[in-house]
Amino acid sequence: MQIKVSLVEDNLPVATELEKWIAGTHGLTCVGAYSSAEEALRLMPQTPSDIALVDLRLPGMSGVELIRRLKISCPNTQCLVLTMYAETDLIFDALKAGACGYLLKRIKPAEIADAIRQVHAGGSVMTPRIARRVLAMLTSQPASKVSLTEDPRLTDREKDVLQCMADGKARKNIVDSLDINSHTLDYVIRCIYRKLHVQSAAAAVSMAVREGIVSPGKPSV
Amino acid sequence: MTSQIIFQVSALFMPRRRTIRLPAFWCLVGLLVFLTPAAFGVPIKLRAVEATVPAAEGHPLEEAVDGVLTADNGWSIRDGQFREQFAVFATDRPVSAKLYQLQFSFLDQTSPSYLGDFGISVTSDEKPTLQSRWVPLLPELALANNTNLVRITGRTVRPSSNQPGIVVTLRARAPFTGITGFRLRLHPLSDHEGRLPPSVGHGPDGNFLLTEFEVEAEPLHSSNIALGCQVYSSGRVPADLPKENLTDGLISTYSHPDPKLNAQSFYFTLDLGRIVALDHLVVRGRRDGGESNRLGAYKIAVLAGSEEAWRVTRWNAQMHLDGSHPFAGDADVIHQRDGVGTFSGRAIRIYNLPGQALQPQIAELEVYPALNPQTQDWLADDVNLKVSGKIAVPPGIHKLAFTITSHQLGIIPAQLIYRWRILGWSELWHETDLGGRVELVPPPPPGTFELQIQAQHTDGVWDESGQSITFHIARLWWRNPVVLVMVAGTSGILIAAVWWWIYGWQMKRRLALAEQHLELHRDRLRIARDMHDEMGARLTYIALLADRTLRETNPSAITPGNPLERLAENARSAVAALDNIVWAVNPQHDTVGSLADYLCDYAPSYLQAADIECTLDIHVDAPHHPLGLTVRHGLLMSVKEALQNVVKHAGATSVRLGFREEQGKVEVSIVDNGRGLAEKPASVIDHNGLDNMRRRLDELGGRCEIGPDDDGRGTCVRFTLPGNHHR
Repeated sequence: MQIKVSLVEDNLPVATELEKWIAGTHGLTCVGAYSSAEEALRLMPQTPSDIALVDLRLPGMSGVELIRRLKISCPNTQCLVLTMYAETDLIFDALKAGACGYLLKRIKPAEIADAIRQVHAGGSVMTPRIARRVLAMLTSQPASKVSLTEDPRLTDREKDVLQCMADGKARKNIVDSLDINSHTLDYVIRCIYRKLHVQSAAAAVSMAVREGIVSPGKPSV
Repeated sequence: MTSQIIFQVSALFMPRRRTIRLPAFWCLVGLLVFLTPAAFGVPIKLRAVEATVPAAEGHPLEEAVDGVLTADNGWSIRDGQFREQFAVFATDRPVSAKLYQLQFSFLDQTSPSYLGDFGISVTSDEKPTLQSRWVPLLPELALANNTNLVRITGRTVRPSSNQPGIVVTLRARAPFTGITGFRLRLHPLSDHEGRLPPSVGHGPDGNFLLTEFEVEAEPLHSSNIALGCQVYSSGRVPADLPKENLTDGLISTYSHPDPKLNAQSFYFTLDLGRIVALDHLVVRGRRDGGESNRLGAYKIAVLAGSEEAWRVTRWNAQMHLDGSHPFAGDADVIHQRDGVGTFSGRAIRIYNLPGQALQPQIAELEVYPALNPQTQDWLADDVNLKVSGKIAVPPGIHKLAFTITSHQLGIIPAQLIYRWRILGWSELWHETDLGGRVELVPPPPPGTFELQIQAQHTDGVWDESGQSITFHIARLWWRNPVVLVMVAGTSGILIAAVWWWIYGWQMKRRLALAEQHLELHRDRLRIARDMHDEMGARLTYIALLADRTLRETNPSAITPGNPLERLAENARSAVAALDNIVWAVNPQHDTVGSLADYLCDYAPSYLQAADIECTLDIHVDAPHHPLGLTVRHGLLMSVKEALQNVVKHAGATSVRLGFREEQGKVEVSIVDNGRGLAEKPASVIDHNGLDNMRRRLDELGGRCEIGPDDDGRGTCVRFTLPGNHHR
């Protein structure tokens, strides 16, 4: 089964190359390439995709806003953030808006393909920086604000995973030290993101934006 | 001086005797008087009022008082010289004196022109006319010039002249005070030859020419206005104890009712001549103390009315009802409070109360009027002050002066002693010298004060009609506390406003400056980002293109050594380097937290590329603590260098990156589990690199420590920055 990928990127040469790459990669197919968020919003519902690669810096409406709206109009499409530079604030905003992870444009196309497959399979992408942010935000916010089916507070396992990620452990190490398998790890990360999304959607976002890095303080053994 | 001699000499001749002899001694005295005419007293300005007969052509009544002493100047009459005539002269203001000196000048040299028989009367009526009440003066002394003669008999004066031009000078005691006018009575006199009928003048036709009539007054020295006043009695008194003894000023003389008289309801009456408000009365007994019981109980009253009928008793008191009597030299000082009624009137009457004979025996009855002292001539530093109601004294003066005076009729104010005190400043009385001038140097402090003044009678009793005057000394406007407070308040507000404005302006300037800087930063950032976006996009494109080329042309030849591969890799590193730069120039990241963030991403990915595990140990108290661009960059470069060393030389499998921030102090540590420094071959250790790191940290104001790990294995590189780095 082909994974349907759509692309929202305003730089034409880069978009062309990426499109070619996706088309030439086994198991992936590119169903749409849009050069602006407005265009994407208008046309994506008609040609739905499994994964959407969204460049955060778009002319007009920002990538973050697009992700937020796609979450509503195309709930089955998972969004992956694509950025040139690792701008933590912006990426965090995108994650809060509902993205499943982020990728730097400069990584090898093969890695992009891996990431797409991973996300489609239920995995997730996270970096220590992001992990720390998420940890700080989800553990310090009062849970009473949100009243949905899901309890927005982190479970212990989620906290452990986040802590490991914040400490810079590689996936392999996390899996080993927490004694979980890779899929579980992905699932946990997904849950974390969902809670983040839920939290941020319901609560005021400004608090999280100003969130500093709170030191978890647990040296890894 | 001369007048004093005259006075003492004339005191030998008391008014008992009405005729005065003219011994040679007296001529000497008269000469002295004539030589110093003005030595007597105060000249009185007279004006002509009216006469009973019209004046002669060219010689009106006014010429008798015009001050011109030429032979043809003077008053003369027309067709009336054979009848008694009167002429009235008024003073310009009421005059009070003990003695008067009247001078009649008849200066026509050609023929005798003097009056034959004349007399003088005085009045105290407000506007003297022929119909006023006139009381005759009884001259005690009469002098004529040169070898002329003048004879006085009772109230008549008869000059006789041997030479043309005669000046007659009379001295007479005043019957009362406050004299406002003089009346001349011309009586026809027959001459020896009988050529003419009795005529008033000795002129050829019985006429006269009165060149000048002048009056001088010797002022009173006592504040007893009873001196010289007329005394009446209800009955006879002994011939050697005339009633006038009561007002002659001598306490050795006295009077009482005639022993043969039934003294029941006997009284003495003293006529002051006008209504006077009184302060106190003094009744003195016999000086030698003889028969002092004769001044026992008596009744004294103040009357109003006229000498014909003293109808109204204004005030009365009864003295010595307990049977006591004053002893030798003692006197009764009687104030209003000793009796009932209003203490003002025209006459004083003393009644024999017990009805016994020879009572009352009185040596002197003194009447002291209410002096009603006032202030005048207020000066503040030689500037006259207006006296109306409250006196307002200007501020900042060095001297405040005023004169205390009394305008009581019959009193020379300069003869009295006054005392004053200023309530609110000093409660003590201060006495003035004669003249009553008070100078306050320095003046009282600013404020409102009450000045109390009193006058002292010549008998030593302080007059009770003292006055109080309120004056207010203004405060210098710059000493007025209200003004000072206002000025201070206003200047305080002004200063505060100015300071606030300056502060605000400074703030605005700083804000503008800061905004400018920020704008600059933002501009730089935007430019950098735009450029890097552009370059980054192109480099990414190059990388992707290289990858595709590689894939499309020779998929099997994808090896790390492949040039296209290397092209792609370099392009990607270039983008990573650009990312660094963008991060470095973004002022948003000038914080401790941002650096920690960055290192947390950079170190693991860098080390993982070399298959080295990286763990993080981050403790940041204040992530927003500022970390300037230079410091940030310097630290980052140092950390990168350290990590490079680990990858190249340490042979480690795991690295722990520590980042600690406490109260501004930053500590970064890179600990690896590799060979350690000691084990490395000396040639391998990059001394330059280590020195670089040390130098870099020194430049930043921090410290670089390189040594073995705490456990003894591996290497620990520690960078420390103190808390005051702001570059």
